[in-house]
Amino acid sequence: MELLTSVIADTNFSAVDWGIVTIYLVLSVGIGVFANRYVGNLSDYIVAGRGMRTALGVATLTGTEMGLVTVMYSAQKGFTGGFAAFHIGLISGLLALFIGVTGFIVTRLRREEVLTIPEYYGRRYGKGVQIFGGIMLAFGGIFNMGMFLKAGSMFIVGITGMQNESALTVVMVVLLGLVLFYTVMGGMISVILTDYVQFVVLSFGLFLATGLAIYQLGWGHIFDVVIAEKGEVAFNPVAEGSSFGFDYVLWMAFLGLVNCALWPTAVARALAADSEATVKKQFMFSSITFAIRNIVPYFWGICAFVFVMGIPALKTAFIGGEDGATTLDSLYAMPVFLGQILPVGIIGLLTAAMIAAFMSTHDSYLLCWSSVLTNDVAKPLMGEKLTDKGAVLLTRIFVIAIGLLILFISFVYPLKADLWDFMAVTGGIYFIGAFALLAAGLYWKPASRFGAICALCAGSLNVLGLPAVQGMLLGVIGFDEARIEAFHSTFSSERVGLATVALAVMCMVIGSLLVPDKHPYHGKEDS
Amino acid sequence: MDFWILLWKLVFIVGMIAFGVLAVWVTIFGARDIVHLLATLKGTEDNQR
Repeated sequence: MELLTSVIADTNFSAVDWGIVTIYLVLSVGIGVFANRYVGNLSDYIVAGRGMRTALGVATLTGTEMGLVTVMYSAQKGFTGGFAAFHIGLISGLLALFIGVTGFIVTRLRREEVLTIPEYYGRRYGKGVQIFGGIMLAFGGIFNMGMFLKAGSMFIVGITGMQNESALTVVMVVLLGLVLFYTVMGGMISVILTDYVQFVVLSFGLFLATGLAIYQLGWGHIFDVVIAEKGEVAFNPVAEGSSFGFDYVLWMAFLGLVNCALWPTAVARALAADSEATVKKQFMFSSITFAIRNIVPYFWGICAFVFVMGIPALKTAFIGGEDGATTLDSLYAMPVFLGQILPVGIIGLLTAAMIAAFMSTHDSYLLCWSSVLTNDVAKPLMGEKLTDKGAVLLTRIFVIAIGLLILFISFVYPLKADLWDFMAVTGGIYFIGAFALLAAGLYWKPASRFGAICALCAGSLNVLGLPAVQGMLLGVIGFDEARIEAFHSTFSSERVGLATVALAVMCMVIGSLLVPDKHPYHGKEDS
Repeated sequence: MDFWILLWKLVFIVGMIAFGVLAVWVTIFGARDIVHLLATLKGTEDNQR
């Protein structure tokens, strides 16, 4: 704590900046209250009455997918991996463009006019798979979201230079309270409206901070320092000795695909679009932001590295000194860097932009997981007893419950890997099974209920890729720290992920061929 | 290594320019879409009444 306090003390954040941030927060809450008047039924609440057009779709997709947690984990990857991390953003952008051009999965889902992905499972594979898939999705999604709050609050503490010991906890509680308020009030309508405002503020902040970082450090100097300190591994992701490697790049390619085509918050935008043509355009235009949302924060992380290397005290704090003392979490590097190079006023604007990013991600995720629990777990179980008004109320209750749950996870879960790798694994618990179910369900007629259940179970095995889970399980059977470390370097998260993908697809195919459905589903008209 | 340095420089610069153009477009037309969305929702609500 003392080390952190001394490192963040030099921030330029002032009362003027607090004023800018406060104005922004009041505006966001006002939008929630305003949007509440337009919520008539569950469809309005979850997909804004399917009335969203392209430009707004791009704004809201960007607002959701470029969250503060994205900025934090990407900056951390840039700090530790250098320019080689750019491959993740590039692949992500290219795959979003592929989805936009082909409409792979998303346009067919939009054609089905479902509210959520598990609702499609229900139509294609039956009610049991809908409920099971809904629970799996919500479990993986909420676990995945568990670190959002902490990472976002670390940014605020790092950039504002809060000195109080309980600052992180206070920031987490306040931010969560604000998001819960306007999400509960206005559902998807307030999410879309705030996403738009957040897109505008965020874009402006992004350009300003990047420009100032280059101005302060010098374009050529940034490259010179990275070359001198890290060498080729900071540029070539498949170089010998790189922290990435070929299997990591392959895993990132799969993640890039599922991030656009399967990740429920991204798909929710496709389902809220007014037509299939809008869905395609939305993804085509958003391919730029799918790339930029990673590349710009990577660059900030790299700039933070260059900045840290130039100041001995910071270098000791983040990289470590000769005495082998404990170093600070590299997640703090980027906010500390920005806090020290940005001038008064600009730093407030950027913080407002980042809080915007934080809120736009949280509101969408909270709404998404709670919609799934209402629509795909409670509704199939309760049937006619759950009225439209009751469903909206239940969704609001789930929003609050999930909020409290992620606050709890933030306190208890020990983050042992890079934040991005944690998110990739926890997300995989859901999306690996979902990939098999959706791809086969939409494009392969023999796909059956039995195959779907097998694939969902196989996908959940991805949790074994988490270093904390591996450590816990191997610890039970008597492995010491060194053997656990060696085990993880062989069965790394990306290898476990790729193996789980192959297993889920195999389960889907073999299960469907062994136990076919008696009455196969042939699309919406057939239902 | 020179190839990778050049590639990432290009990716960064082209990406920033493309995002700049997109941001201006979304800011202008997104505002118009909000008016349309709220009008649609208001219309639906009136019809339901």
